[in-house]
Amino acid sequence: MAQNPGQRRATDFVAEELARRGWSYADLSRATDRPDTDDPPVDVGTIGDFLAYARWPKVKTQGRIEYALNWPPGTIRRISLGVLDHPGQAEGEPDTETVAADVQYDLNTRRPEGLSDQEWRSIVEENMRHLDYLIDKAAKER
Amino acid sequence: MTYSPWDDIGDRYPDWVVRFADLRGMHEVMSWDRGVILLEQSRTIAERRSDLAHAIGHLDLEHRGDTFNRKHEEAASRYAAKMLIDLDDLIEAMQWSDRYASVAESLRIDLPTLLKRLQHLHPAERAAIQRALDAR
Repeated sequence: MAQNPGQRRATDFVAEELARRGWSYADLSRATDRPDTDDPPVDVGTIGDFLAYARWPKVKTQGRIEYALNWPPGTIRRISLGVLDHPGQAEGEPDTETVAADVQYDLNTRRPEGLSDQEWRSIVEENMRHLDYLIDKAAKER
Repeated sequence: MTYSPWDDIGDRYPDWVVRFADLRGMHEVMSWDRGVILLEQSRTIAERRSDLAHAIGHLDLEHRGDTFNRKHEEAASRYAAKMLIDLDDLIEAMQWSDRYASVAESLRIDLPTLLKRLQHLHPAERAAIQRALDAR
């Protein structure tokens, strides 16, 4: 499924990093091959679809791309959600502009009454992995 | 006929999956990528009915892919309130009770949804309610 604006923003950072390193899709694919797992590297086609905004990779694939780029786990996801402004941003130190904005979300969820921006951001961040798991589980039950 | 968000999502969005789950403080969560709506399992039946209608509001209003903002929240809430609360049902409920909580309960919706509907009544609807209440 096509990417939303937040996801495209994260994708752009990956493409920018590839350009900076002079890497091709195949280079990135090879770099996702982790010696500590039996999983195959991320397929070049998957990387192509991701960088063409055509598909949004699953969390596990995101993790492998982050591994290849030496980014902290969850970086791609956090950029797509607007929690991080860029890959190098230290967690807990969002820009002032980011704090003032609503949380960007590829998941829609209603902010319960009475929560401040900061409180809502904390809940979203703390539960991101939990929500990913629940959504993945529900999607597989389809 | 009373609106059923459960029938509606099945009829108009058959590819979407709706599940109850522990959402840790959130009411409902939608993933457009996976076609999944999760509803907080600890909410009451009336609350979950309202939450699902709110989610359908986001679907119908095509809020996909934009910054999740208050304007969209407001629009989805108003949309859900309108779908859930038929004017005749509202009038009947208000004739039976002056308490909003009781009115919401009889309409099988949560209180915020009722208040949203009342807040955005059309002048003609407001007049119809007033006439009905005056005639009690």
